[in-house]
Parts: sequence; C-alpha cells; structure tokens
Amino acid sequence: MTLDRRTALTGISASALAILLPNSVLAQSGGTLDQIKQRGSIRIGVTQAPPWFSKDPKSGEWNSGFGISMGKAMASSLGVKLETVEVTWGTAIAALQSNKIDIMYMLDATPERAQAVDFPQSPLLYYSLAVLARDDLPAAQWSDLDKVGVRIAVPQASSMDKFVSEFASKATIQRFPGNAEAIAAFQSGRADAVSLFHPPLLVARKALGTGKIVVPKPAKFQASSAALRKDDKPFRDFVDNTFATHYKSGQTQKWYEEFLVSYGLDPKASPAVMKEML
Amino acid sequence: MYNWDFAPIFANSDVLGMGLLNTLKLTGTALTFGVPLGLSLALLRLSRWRLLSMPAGLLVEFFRTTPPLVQLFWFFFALPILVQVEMTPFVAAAITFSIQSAAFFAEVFRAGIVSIERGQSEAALALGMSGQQAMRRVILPQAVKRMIPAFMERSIELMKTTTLVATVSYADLLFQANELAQKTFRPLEVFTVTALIYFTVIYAASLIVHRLERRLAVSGETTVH
Amino acid sequence: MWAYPEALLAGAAGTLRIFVICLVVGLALGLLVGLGRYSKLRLAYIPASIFVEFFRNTPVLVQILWFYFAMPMLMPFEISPLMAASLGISLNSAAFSGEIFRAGIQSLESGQWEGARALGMSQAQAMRRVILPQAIKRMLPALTNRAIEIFKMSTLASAVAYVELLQQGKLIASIHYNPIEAYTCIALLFFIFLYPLVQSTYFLERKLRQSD
Repeated sequence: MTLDRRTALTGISASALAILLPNSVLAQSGGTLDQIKQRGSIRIGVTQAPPWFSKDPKSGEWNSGFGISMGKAMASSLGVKLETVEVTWGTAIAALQSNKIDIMYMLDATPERAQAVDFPQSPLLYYSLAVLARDDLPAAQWSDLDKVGVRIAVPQASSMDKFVSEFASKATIQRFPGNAEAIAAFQSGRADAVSLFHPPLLVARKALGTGKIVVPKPAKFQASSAALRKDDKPFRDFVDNTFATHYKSGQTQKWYEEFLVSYGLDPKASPAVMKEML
Repeated sequence: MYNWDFAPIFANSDVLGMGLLNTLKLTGTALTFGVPLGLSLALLRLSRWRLLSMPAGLLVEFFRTTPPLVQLFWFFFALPILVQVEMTPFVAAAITFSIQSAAFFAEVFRAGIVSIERGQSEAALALGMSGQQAMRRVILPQAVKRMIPAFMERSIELMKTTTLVATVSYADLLFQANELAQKTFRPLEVFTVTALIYFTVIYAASLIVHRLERRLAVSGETTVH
Repeated sequence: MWAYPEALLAGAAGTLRIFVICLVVGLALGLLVGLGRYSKLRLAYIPASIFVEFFRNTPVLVQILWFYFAMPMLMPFEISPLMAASLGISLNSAAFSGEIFRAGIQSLESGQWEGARALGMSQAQAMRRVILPQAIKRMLPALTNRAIEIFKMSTLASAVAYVELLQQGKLIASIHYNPIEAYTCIALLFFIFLYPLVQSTYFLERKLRQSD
C-alpha cells in the first residue's frame, strides 16, 4: 500500500504541472457594450445590502434598492434586459475580472482597486462613513473607537474594512462576508459597533430598534462609484454619462428617497446623497 | 496565456501561516472537548434509565443529522442572542465543533463498547468488580484500543469540517485565503496554494493514521470497519 | 418565518436539485473510479488512486471556492454557483464512493468468480451478472451513508450564493433580523427530512446483515 501512495504523490505533482501549461485569456469578443448587445442583457453585481440592493424572499427577485433602479435605467437606455448576479463586496472585482458581471455599483474608487478595475469619473452619489453602536459606547470620534477591547464588525474588503483597519487599528476588527452578517454580529452582541455607510445603517437601525447611529469625527464623507473592467473606454464613457446625467437631474436622489419611503423611513430625516443638498 | 504570479502569495505567507495555526488550534480544541463529551454521551445512551438515555440519544442524533454549516450559523448568530452571552468567533466555533464531533465520537464509543464480548463483562463481574469498575478497568480500555482508527478518521474529518468557519469570520486558513484573494486580486494562485496546503497537512495526517492502523492490526487489537 | 413559504420552498427545491445532481454524478463517477482502483492495469489504477487521494484529503469548501473563483481565471467559460458547488461535492463523493465500490467488489469470495467461470462466462460477464449485483447489496449501507452526507453538504453551496435552504434562511434572517427563528427553523427542516432517512438506513443495515 505504501508504494501506491508514493506514486500518488508524484502523480499529483505531474497533473498540477499539466494544468500550468498554456491556457486561458478569457475570450472577449469586443468591448463590454458589444457583449451586452450580443447577449441582450446587462449583468450587474448585487449583494444583500439595502438601500442599495435587496432581494424579495417571496419571489426570489432582486427588485428593490437604489442599485436596481439605476440598473433598470441603464438596461432600458441600452435596450436590453437587466440581469442580477449575486456577489459579495470582496468578490465583486474577481467577478468583473472573470466576466461574471459587467458592472458593480457602490464600489468606491481606491488606488488598490484601480490597479485591477476602472472607475468612471462622475460620482455615483455621496455618503458618510458611520457606525451603528451600542447606546452606551462612546463613538463621537474615530479616536473613541480606536481602543483595545472595542469590537467593530465590517464587511470583508469593503471601504469600511480599509478605513477602520487604518484608523481604528487598536480595536478588534471582525470581517464578515457581507453587510447582513456584519449587522447580525452587532445584533448578537458579538460586536460593539458595525461600520457601514450611513444609508444601510438607517435601514438596520429601523429594523433592530436599538443602538445609535453616529458619524464619528472627523467625518469621512466621500463619493461612491462603480467598478468596470479595465481598458474599455466606450463602456466607461457610457457609464460616466449615465451617472452624470442622473445625478445632475436629481434622479439619483429621487431613487434613493423612493427606497427609503418604501422601507418606512422619512427622507427628510435622512441625509441626502447629493453633496449639493447637504 | 494566464500570467501566473505567486509573488503576492509568498509576500503574504504569514497571513496564510496564521490561518493554518488557527485551523489547527480550532481542531485541537474541538477534539479536546469533543472526546470526553462524546464518551459521556455514549455512556448516557447505554444507561438503563430512559431519563438519561433519551435526551442523550436525541442530542447525538440531532447533531449527526443536521448539516454542520447550519449548526455553525445557529451557534454563531442565534445562541448569543438567546443566552445573552458575548462570544468571540473562536468560542462559538469551538462550541459548535466540540458538540458536533462529540456526537460522532459518541457513536464510535458506543459501537466499541458494545463490541466487546459479553464474556469480558461477565468475567469482570465474576471477579467481584462492580458494574462501574468493570466498565472502567476492563471494557473501556479494550474498547478504546479498538476504536483508535475510527477516532483518527473522525479527527481528520473534523479538520476538513473546520473550513466552514471561513463563512463566519473566524480567521482560519480558508478565511485568510479569502482575505488574501480579495486584497491581491489573485484568486487562482491563492486558492491553488491553499488547496495544496490543506492537502499536504491532511494527507500527512492520514498517512500517520494508516501506519497506526497497521501496527494495531498486527497486534490483533483492532476491528477493521 | 412562516410568512415566506415560497422562499423556503425555493430553498428546498434548490437543495434537492443539487442533491440529485451530486448523487448521480458522484456515484457514477465513483463506480468508474472504484473499477479503476480494482483494476490491475497501471493505466487505470494510477490516475484513479491519485484522484481518490487528492479529493478525499482536501476540504470540499476549498474545492467549491476554487472552482468558482480560481478556475474561471484559467478557462474562458462561465461557472455558475450550481456548477461550482456540484463539481466540488460530486468529486469528493466520487472519491469516497470509489473506495466503497472497490471494497465491495474485493470482499466477495473468489468462489463466486470460479462458479461464474465454470458456467462459461467471460470476466466481463461474470463481473456484470454475478459480482456487481452481490457487491451492491453489501455496499448499500455505506452508500446510503454517503448519500446522506451529500445531502448535508448541499448547504456548502450557500458559500457561493446558490439558492438552497440555508441560503434562504440567511436571507430571511438578514431582512427580519430574526436569526434565532430563522436558523432554528432551517435546522429543524433538515432534521425532520433526514431523520427518517437515517433511521431507515439503520433498518436496512440490520435487514441486510440478517439476509446474509
């Protein structure tokens, strides 16, 4: 029996080498716009993260959220259908690279991401980084949270992950696959605070009923964007134009408010996602 | 031609190294608690009093029949709210896998104990030992020797099952691999290396197990199943 | 929780679908692998052994993630969550059931072969008409155990967002913030479904042992 185990080991290394032989380049005929037209649909990445994307348990459809509204608008202006593909914040870029999706909304432009994907110049919307914390936890400043023993939940590889890892490095940071698990960690007492951008926290706070939302100072206010495959100017220009148009016309703000209302939140009580309106 | 680039992996080998350590830590802890717990459950099941044997039986069956990932989610997200206790990811994972492996060990123990010939226990009683003494001095030692191969196989299964914690943010090897893949944007290299690490560790462990099995078989002490 | 029967039904359908796929592929491939391991030809024996050693000693979740995230970088075609999860679970099951098949065939006394040969059958005929059916009877308990394991492994597909029971539980829990109810319900559903099956395998084992 020992002999075949040794041969097994050599055999496995041989097969591994065979896989390394020339292969791949993901066959892409034409840019993203051409592919979309050929396929007849635009594929957007989605993840359970209201108010951006939300799945309806009854029908199994991703049919509500700001990202869905934007996706529908893009699809109809291209004359194609909208297709949703579930990803996580951390795997969205891999999904773009392996051609599982055409665009991922709500990914912020960072230098590291820009090495792997492209971002349009026009912003998608603006928001602030915030925390939903236990009522008795001091969180008015980021320095309050930067203490040993404070436990903060974030979604893995998101902007929150990056920011909190840098500016609250003494705290215990727990990374989860998505928004929902990070909020669940806070709910179950495993974390003292969960850090997301302001809008998803509004949604969470309403459902949980406890905890306080704080935008710790210095406030990290920034633009969000969408990730696209690299070196695809026609598609990038299209996305750029679309974002700029809807932002200037106030449609972006309207879609956001529509979702808040459908969720039972008062748009007047929530900060706007347009810089000019704040 | 895909551009293989293993450099980011080697640059971050400490990330994967920490993950491997955490995997081993979790496996070790679950085994340490799972084995004695499994023995207690087995003994409870063999007890004559239904009040003891039925709940134990139900617990064992429940944890053997439900998928481990469901158990993990429950212990991770539901239990802390239920008992109002704060738990680190490690504690929640350790509890889940201790109970889960205990359920499987309980069956192995029970089968082992039952497999010792009646004659042994009768002889022990004839020698004047009490039921408990017979169990402790005669039956259990023999049962344990027979069950060692099954134990080791269960332990290797456990090491594979611990990968589930990557989905609930305990920083085991697979979780760290996910982290690395998402930061370096090189999922192919990262997951290939990770698979090879798991294979190496687990294969080595199973080789040791088989060597042990053969030694025990030679000495006539094992029931091959 | 009960407000979403459609969600749970969709989840159950997904679980069953991946279960059937992995069961069929896993057993079919496992039979091939088992025959390969039993064969005296090195050309069959060595690849089969490599397959078994590799897929028994790597965790299934790692394989699923590799197929979903790593493989698309190498190959130009799309891998859906169902495909990736099915590949991971089926290959793992094929490795385990391959060994079950091999042990089953080996365990039969040589008397059976000689008897079949005496009746004038070729090796292939003897294998097909006498050895395999008997071996199957002996392997049934281990194979049904494998089937139950496959059913439980279906939950791993939730790691790549495939819609099965656990994934639906996660969705409901995240919308209503009721993880206790959601996960307890999912656990109970699995238990209610699998427990009778597990009990009937015990029953099957006992009956088979008697009939020998």
